[in-house]
Amino acid sequence: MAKTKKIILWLIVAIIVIGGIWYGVTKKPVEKGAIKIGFIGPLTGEAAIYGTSPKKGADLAIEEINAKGGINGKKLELIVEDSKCDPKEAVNAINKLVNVDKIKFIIGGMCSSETLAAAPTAESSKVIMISPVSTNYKVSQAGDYIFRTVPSDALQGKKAAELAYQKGFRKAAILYVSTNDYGLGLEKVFKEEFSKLGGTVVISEGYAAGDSDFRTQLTKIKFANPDVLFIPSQMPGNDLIVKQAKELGIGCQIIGTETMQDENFVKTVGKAADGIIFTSFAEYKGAQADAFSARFKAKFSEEKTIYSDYAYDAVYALEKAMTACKDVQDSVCVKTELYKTDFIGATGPVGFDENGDVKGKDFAVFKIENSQFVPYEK
Amino acid sequence: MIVVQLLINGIIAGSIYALVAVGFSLIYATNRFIHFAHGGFVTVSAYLIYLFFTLVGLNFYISALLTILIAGFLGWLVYKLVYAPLKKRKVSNAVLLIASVGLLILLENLMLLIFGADVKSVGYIQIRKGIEVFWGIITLLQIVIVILTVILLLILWFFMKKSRLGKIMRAVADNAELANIIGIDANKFCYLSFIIGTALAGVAGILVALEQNIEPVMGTGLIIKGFTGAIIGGVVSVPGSILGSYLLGLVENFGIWFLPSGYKDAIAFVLLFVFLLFKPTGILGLRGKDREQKL
Repeated sequence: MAKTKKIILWLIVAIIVIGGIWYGVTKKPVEKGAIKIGFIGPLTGEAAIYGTSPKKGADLAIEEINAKGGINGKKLELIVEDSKCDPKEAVNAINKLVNVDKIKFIIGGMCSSETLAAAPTAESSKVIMISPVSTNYKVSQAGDYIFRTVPSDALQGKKAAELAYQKGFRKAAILYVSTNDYGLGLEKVFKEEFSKLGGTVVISEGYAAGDSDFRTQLTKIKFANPDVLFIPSQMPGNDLIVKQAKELGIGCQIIGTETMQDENFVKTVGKAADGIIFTSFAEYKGAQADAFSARFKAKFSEEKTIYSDYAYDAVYALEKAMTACKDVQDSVCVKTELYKTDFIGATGPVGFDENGDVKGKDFAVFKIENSQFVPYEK
Repeated sequence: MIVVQLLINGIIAGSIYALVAVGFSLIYATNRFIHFAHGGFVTVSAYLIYLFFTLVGLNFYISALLTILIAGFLGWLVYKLVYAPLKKRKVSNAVLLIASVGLLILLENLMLLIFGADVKSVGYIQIRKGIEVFWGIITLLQIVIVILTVILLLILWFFMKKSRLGKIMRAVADNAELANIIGIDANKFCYLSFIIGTALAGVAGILVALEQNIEPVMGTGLIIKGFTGAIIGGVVSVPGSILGSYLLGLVENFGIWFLPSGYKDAIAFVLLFVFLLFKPTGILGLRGKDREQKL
């Protein structure tokens, strides 16, 4: 008995060792001298959707660029680090990418808290970071090397506040995720903008990311009797907040953010989601967007997911800037070129202002009808 | 009436904690080590009901029964494969604790690997406004959860105090070696507690899946609160752990009536500290002196 056990144990050890070596060997760059591009985003944990979705967009762009022969004859390779939507993990990830892999370009971070935590390291080691997800308003000031292809929440919070005010609501309640910069930022911007317009925020309640019981926050909100409930939250969270709000009989208009543009949200909430309005990225209708959707569907056999097109454009922005530089690994040159970016991508015209924020992009308003996202008409 | 609604909220939260705590505490009572992976089995059960009911399309009650049976079997399996060999080597409780944490992480990541990271919903119950009861609102499912928890409390109290099996289990819990000497096969009862305890995790998994949707990392949060509830209630006492969970749910929800909601977990752990400092044996746990007398 003991002998068989020992043999089995040794077999397992041998398999792990051989497997590890095989994995290590096959993981080597396709070609010597490939240009490594880092990727920082949550791939596991509860916010994984904000990493897996953009990763698909980045994978698709890199595959296309490599198929065309790469940049100046050099292939691109994505080095992926899982940061779990956790600022500490994001700092570990960037340290590894910068110090071990000697990477100069990063797609990420995804959660705003990740990007803000990793930015100082990127800035001091002259590493370029382009985020396709982080919308927090503070990312604008995070540094010269920090870019993003999504518009800022300074715009989104304003849009949501204007929408609420125009619809005749004067008493707003907010339920926001208070343990990350996304929720904190939007809560602040909405409050400021809504007060500026002449409305009042009667109650603002926070919750910790990962919570699944929002009943007491919602009870307090219900008894504050607002006209409108603004929810800058994320998935998972949105689904249970809306479920519990409906169960508690909160009948006021709910306004959400771009995180509600998620198939899983309408699938889990069902009919209760109908009538919700939310702000999200204005859709670009152009040949490039259609082409991206078609190629995305062909590769992953699913409809394009939110943020995947922004990640796709982030990789192309890098490619264009790198092509313009003599030495593709010269991040100072690539940074200068990035500020001159001007092309039409899957999300429309891509260019960056002096803060590294994407130019000319804004948020639009959508409504959920029969579990579909439709543009909101006033 | 905000007070009534908060009371209801506290009772609902407490019931969910209690569902997790009861199996955990049953396993602790006979085995005397902290089985954190219990939260992992709640997660696995939630995915099982999703698999049987939503993906395969079986009848809901058949799916629920299958889930509970498989959960019970998994409890037996995990004891057989992980804990029994470790115990045979007479390892310390710390080693068993570490093994259970490892198991919890393994189970959660297995679910992530198989089912993906996005939130899943069983979709058995449509979302609609709850029923008004005494100026408060509660849904039918929440009523079922609360009633089921109270029934479990009564059954387990009766089982542990009055039935022969329960008495033997308590004997094993008090002193496994002594129980062995008088002819009780302690090992058998360790298996039994794992089967029943994990089947209870199955019940918890089904109800939590209906109430809160399913995600791979849900187990960690649940076991932390269930564990806290069990400690407050007196972890060796199964009914005590249910009472402790209710106390935890109520204190948390009334606490954030006055304090910002972000302090919810802080309130839970302050309560835990208060108990650990002033009544470490919990609400129904035995004091050192009483225990010696009883033994």
